Amino acid sequence: MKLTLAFIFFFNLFFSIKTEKPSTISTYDPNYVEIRYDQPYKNDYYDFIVMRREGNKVKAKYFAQNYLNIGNKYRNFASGKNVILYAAAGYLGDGYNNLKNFTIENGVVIQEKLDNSKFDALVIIYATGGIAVSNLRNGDLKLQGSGADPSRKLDLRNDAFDKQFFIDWCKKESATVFQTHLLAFNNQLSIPSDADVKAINKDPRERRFLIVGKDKAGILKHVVINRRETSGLRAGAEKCFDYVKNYLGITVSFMINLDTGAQNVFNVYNSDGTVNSDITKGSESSVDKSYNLLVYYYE
Amino acid sequence: MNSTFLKFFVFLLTCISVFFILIVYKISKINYDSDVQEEVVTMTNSFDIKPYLNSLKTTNINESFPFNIFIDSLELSDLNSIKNVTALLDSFVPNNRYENTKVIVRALTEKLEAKFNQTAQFENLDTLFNIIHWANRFQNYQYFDTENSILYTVVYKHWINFVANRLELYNQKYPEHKFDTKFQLLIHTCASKKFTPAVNMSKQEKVVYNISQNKIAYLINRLILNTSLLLKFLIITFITVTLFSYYITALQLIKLFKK
Repeated sequence: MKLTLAFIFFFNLFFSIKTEKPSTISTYDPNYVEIRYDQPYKNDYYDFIVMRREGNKVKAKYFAQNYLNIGNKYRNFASGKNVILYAAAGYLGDGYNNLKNFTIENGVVIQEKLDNSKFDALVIIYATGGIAVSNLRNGDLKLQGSGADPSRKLDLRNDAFDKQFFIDWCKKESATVFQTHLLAFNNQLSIPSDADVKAINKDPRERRFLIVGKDKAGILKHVVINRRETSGLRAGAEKCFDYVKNYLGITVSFMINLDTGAQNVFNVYNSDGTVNSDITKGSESSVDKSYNLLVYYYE
Repeated sequence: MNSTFLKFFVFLLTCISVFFILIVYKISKINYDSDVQEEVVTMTNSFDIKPYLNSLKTTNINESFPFNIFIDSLELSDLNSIKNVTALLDSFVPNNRYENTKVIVRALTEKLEAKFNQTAQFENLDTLFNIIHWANRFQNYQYFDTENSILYTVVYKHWINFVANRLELYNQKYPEHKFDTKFQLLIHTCASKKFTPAVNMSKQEKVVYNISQNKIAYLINRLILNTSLLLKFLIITFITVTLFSYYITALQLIKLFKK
């Protein structure tokens, strides 16, 4: 009897850790989401998820937290939501349990250190589910609402006053922000050609990117592209940019890195709510391994 | 015990020994000097900036402001001195509070940083401690001079951000000093202010670091979550072999005592 009870206890414990699916079955309109894997192009293979933003049905959300994984935050959010995918996005600092770069979640400052040289993308996730990216190198961030002058350009890197203004604006707007590598901007690759040579960590890794742009019909699309073959950041970005721009025919507004790093958390759901295990091979699906997470959902 | 098992056992013990020797070597290289420099307070003679403000072009205050004279003249950590200059500027260029504040901020951040970069020895960690001490004053000033609180907040945050970025550069240049007491103290000070610098560590260094921080529960958690089955198997084997060797030793000792 005791043995049976012990078996049931450990069996439940094991499977309770593994459960990641939202408590309700996740479904969405397949007309808004296209999932493909192992797509051949120039002797390489690509996996991608293309999401149409028209009608504001597909929305983005970002979670971040220091020292505690975002598992509970995600599960509270995902309950009753139609999740399309989630992926770890921001970089982690030492110990792999804290955020490396500037991060604000729903107006709450989590990490205030703004990297001044490498990470040029300031990603803003609006409450409406949209995503915008400002190139920090250009110093031309424009804001609207909460007392911001829409014509004023903010230079967060070089003007401390502008940076504080932006933080105050985020608090008022309950905005979510994180900083990462900007790989392409205005349909041009922006990561330096010698980035892989100069990288501190030269280990080739599987890569994952978010590309936002418009197709030939002018429809705004968000593309998460997954490259299971390992490569340097620049090499991987160059190939994926070429694929999205020339094969998928998307004029790229921006392309950012979704850092695989120590987290490598990635999961994709089909329109019927089942997990698409073909595209997530080699990555981790447990959100309990993640300290930040970019989520796309259908509403 | 057959000879293959014995060889495997000896090999495992050698691996464990080498691993611990490496850890001891790493720890022995750490500089435990915790003699942190106290705050250096210098009082310069007061300098009247008023004559220089006469030439200020009110249409473009940001360009015509005498930044270098301002920095040289001002007692940079004295609340009253900063308040006086701010009031003076407001009287010279009235109804322009926002731009006036921005000019003072620019002087105490961008311009002062440019001057610091020419002279300061950032490779001396005490210099960074001094900057934090100095910046901390501004964090407190925001509560005493609420009218100019934005000024103090911005200056404070700018310099903590500056120190955090400098620590990252220091770490890239001197990676062997990452566990030094002073460096770690600076890292934790910045982290407590939400300006955590990123310190590059190898996987082995991370294990050493977490052991030194007594983060055993965290290590076990990462071991369960982030290691492959092969590594889990190897670690379990290490532990089993170690426990087994204790067991054999204990048995031998018991036999010895019984005799």
